[in-house]
Formats: sequence, structure tokens, C-alpha cells
Amino acid sequence: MTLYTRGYRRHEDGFQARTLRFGPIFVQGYREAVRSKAFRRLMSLFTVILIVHCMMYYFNPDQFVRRLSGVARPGGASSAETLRASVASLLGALRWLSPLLVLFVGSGLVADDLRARALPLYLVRPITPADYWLGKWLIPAAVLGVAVLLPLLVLLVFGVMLEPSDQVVAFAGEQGRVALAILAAYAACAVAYGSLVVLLSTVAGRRTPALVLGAAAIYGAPVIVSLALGASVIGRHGHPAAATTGLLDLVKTIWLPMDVASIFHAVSGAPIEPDDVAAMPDPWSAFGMLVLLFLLAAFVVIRRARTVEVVA
Amino acid sequence: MAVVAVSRLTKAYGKRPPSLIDVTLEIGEGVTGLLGPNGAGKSTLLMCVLGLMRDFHGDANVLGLDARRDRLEIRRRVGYMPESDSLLPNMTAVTSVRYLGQLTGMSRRHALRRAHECLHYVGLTEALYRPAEEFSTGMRQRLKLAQALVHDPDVLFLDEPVSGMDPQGREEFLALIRQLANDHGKHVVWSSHMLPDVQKVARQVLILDKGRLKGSFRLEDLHGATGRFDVEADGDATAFERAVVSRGFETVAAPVADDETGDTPALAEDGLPRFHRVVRVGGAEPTTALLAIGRDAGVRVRRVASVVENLEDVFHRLLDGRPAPDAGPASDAASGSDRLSESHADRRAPTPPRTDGPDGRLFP
Repeated sequence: MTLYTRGYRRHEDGFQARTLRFGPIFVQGYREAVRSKAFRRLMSLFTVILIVHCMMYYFNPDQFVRRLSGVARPGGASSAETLRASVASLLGALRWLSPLLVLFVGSGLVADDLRARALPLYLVRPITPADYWLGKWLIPAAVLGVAVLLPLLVLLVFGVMLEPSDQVVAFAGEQGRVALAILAAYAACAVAYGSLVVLLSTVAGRRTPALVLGAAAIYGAPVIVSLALGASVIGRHGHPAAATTGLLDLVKTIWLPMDVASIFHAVSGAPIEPDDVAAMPDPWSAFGMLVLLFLLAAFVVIRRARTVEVVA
Repeated sequence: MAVVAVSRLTKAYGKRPPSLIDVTLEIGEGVTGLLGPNGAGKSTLLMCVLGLMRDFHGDANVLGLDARRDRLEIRRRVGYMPESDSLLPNMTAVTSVRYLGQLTGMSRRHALRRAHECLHYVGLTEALYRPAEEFSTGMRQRLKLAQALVHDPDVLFLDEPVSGMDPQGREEFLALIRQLANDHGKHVVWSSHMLPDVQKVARQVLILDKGRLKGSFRLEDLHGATGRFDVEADGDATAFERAVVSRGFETVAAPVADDETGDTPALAEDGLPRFHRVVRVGGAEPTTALLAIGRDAGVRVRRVASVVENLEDVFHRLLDGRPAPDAGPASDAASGSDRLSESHADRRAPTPPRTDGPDGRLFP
């Protein structure tokens, strides 16, 4: 088969009637992201964490004794409770580590295009600024699918598969709420971290500043929230758990991993960490914050692309 | 058919003075040069017809498609080579061209094959798998052309396509563009400051300045007669001038001293003084008329050559806003009040006027 012909040849193979015009942007960006060293190294870490959680679930004293003897320990947690706790624990680790992964693979998404003055090359093709935004945003969202959603689902399936054969289906059916909470937590991660990294990549215009700003936003927010929480507790409330409403609730929403925890909590009915409850914003506040962040990122990227469109 | 048709197009950025003011033009088939100094509005015009700007007044059509309403379809049918040093980051040459093909709607397989073909075509065979960021300026220009060609567009918009290229690379690039236009039916709009390059490839030229269209003409008209002739003769120059006037014609250029021409001896072999005059002559047989004038004046006319303008002459004249005092065939193609007739050489006397060279020589 001839791969190419020399000289100029007309393209006679037609064009695809593509409705998802952002598709090539997403696919190309995702390929580059998963081939990066940062992705491979951090995914290795995530895999180790997943294996540790699977082993912890497998060797959990309550479940291990039950599996060996066929009789539950008196006062021991049920399989469902243990599995939910394991899933929450894994999410507890991933909600902190996954932003790191997203920042490493996503800080250059728009910034590199800006540095290389590549935006005009996109925008003279039949795509719109909104297509550009969507294609770029889906890249960290898909990376988080591999880094967050997949390990959580693997752990859930692992827990289900450990049940006795005659109880697998029934047990799996009982895990619907946990599965839903996993999906909600993943969606929250994708919206929060994906939007943040694309937003900062656009605003900073360079990869390294975007990475530093993102790390500051993710890992610096706990300091601000803790100070605000502490001041509120000292000033007006007797117990941290009482500080759950008003302006403080809005301050809490800047702590994005806690927004993820709040949404997981609201759907699953159990917190990731009991100590988190006081620092978690109201689920609706968390939801509102994530929607706002998503819209802000979309606005900034599309506006930037439209500016390039105009002055290209 | 007009490849690009613009009607009363006005575009302003915010409250600043308009970048384009009531521009009406048509770009025909083949290669068209879009000329003008910085800030003339060339890039703005390209952006408007590509549909990258929609907030302009007037109408713009490309290949019969409305630049506002059908902008995505237009972008599928045109290729754009930006002036800026635009590269897709972290990609090899073949990956970047393939990727842009996919963005235009090609399947991955077809886009990859086209990417290879286009990169071979523009002469980047040896650099297919090298990161584009390592490319030299000339290679980057070729890569940008390959990116513009990957989806086989009908129209190519090239914005300063040869800037930064070495002379050999420039010539090769011009040859590619000529080939694309002549052999493959591409319509090319070449925006540039580089007048000699445009003159080599373009059939039509548009000149913009300060947002206004200053002139529009076919280059072949530049090579037509301007009604003026460079006459080289031996004998009495004053008698020759008198004979010119007596026949109702005029001498339009300042006389060039014989010793300033550098290539003409001051005296003929028989001792007669040799001189040059540029004469504006009308009528169907200007050469015959000049020979008759020579006979009347008793001078020996050695050479009569039609004075032609080159693109640079016209460009500067139009930018200076100087009116054309007479009309030749070239001026018929000029738009509005801008006519192409007066030679740029006229205002640079004593530089010898440009002529059509040895072919115009009457005597060996």
C-alpha cells in the first residue's frame, strides 16, 4: 500500500460530518497527557494506594474473620459499612493527590498554546472558541476518570467480588448509593480540578506559574479556611460543628477537596473523614461553587480564544 | 467568479479609528497580492473574510459564502498561513499537520496520509518526525504552508509567507505557490510588504493604506504601454525637443546627462552627442511618430523603448496619493480615482527611466 504520493494531490476522501468538533482536541490532548512522565509516575502511586486499600479491605478484621469462620464478629461492622469506609478512605487520599496529577498534566493545556501562539491555528479551522474550551476541559476530566473514578470503581467491584457467591448480586445491589456517590465525587473532582487547571493555564499564560498558582489554590485553601473557622468558633460558637452556615460556609467552598467531600457525603450519607464535617461546606454551597468555577473557566477561556480570533 | 467579494466593509476596534473604511473589492482567481504598509488593514481584512471577526459593517463573501453566517464552512474551504510564528507545541511536524487536518474534519487516517503528502510537497521530507520547535525560520514557514494545505483548500490566505526565508528558500517557496495556482487551481491571497515577491507570483494586486483601498489592478497591465517612451538618439537634443513639441507631444522626464547613465557613451562613434529623452506620445503608431520626429530634428534615433512601471513605482505613488496625470492601459484597471500611469522614476530624476530592456532596442 502506498502511504503517500509525491507531489500535490487533491484530497478526494471527503470530510466527516462531525458534530463533536472538539473531539480531535480532546483526543490529542488526552493522548499527550497519558504519555507524560508525570502521569505515569503519579498513576503508579495511585495504583499502589489502590492496592493498599484493597489489602486493607481484604484484611479488615471484621470481614476477614467472617470470611474465615462464616460468622460475623459480634459488634463488628457489616460488609457494606466496611466497603463504604474503604471507598471513602481511598477517595480521601485521591482528592488530595489527584489535583497534583491534574496540575502536572494540565497546566500547559492552554498556556502552551498561548506561548507558541497556536490559538490562531485552531481558530482558522472550523471550530469555535466554545469547542476549544470543551476539548481542553475534557482532558483533565478524562485524566481524572483514570486517576479517581477507575480506582474507586475497582475497589467497589473488588469488595463486591469478595462476598460469598450466593450473596454477590444482592450485595452489589445494595451498593448503588456508594456507586452513585463515587460518580458524584468524580464529577465534582472533574469540575473542580479540571476547571481550575484550565482557568489558571489561561490566566497565567505559562505552564510553571499555572502549576504554582494551582498548587497554592488547592493546598493553601485549608489554611485560610482553618483560620476563618477558628476565628468563627472562638468568636461566636462553642463547637466547630456549629459553624456551618452564613458567610463562613461560602469561605469553606474555596477548599475544593472539601467541596468534593461534601458532595460525596451528601450522596453516600457518610463522610470521608469524621473530622471533616466541621470544615465541609453545605452541599448546595459546594455545588454552587463548582458550577461557578466551571462557568468562570469557560468564560475566561472562550473570551481569550475570541480575543485571539479577533486579533489573530 | 470572485473568490472574495467585499462590499462597503468598515471595521473598527472599539473606539479607535476604523482599521478598514468602506472597502469594496473583488479578488479574482489565481494569485492576488494584498499590499500595504503596517497598519494598512491587511490582516483585519483577512480576519473579516475568514469570519474571525463578525462585528464589521458591510458584506464579505468567500467563494459565495457569507463570512458571518457560513464562517465554519469558509474555514473548511480556505487555508490560512498566519504571519506570527505559530506552532502547535510539543508536536512533530507530521503530528501537527495531521492534527490540524483532523480539526478540519478529516478522519485520522486520511489526515495522516495528507500530512505526509503535504510535508513532502513543501520540502520537509527529512524533518517529518522532528519537533517543530526545533525548526529554522524557513522550515517553519514551509510547515505553516503544509498546515494550510492539509485539507486541500480552494483558497489560500498567506500572511507574509516568506518573511525570514533565505533567498533560495524564498525562490522555492514562490515556485510552490506558482505551481499551486497554475497547476492545481488554488486561489491565493498573498498579504505582504515584499513587493518583488508579490510581483513574481501575483496576477492581481490590491493596495491598502490606512484602512482604505488605494488601488486594484492586474500586474500584466503594468507591463503594458504607459504612453511614454525612452528615446536614445544621437544629435541635437534641443532640436529634438522642439520637434516633439511641434508635433503636439511633450517631453515628460528630466533629461539624463549622458555621463550619468553609466552605460551610454557621451558621444557616438561619429562624434555626435548622444542623449536620452522620455517622451509622451499618443496615437496608434508611437514608434513611427518618434522616428518621424527624429527625422524632423535631424537626429539619429538609436533606440525607442516603452517605459513601464514596476510594482514598487505604483505602490509608492498610490501611497503618496499623487494623482496620475495621464491614462494608459494600466490605468484603466485602477479603481476609483487612482490611476496607474506616472512613473515612480519620474520623481527620482536623474535616475534613468525603467524600460522594457533590450527588446525595445531599434538598432543594434
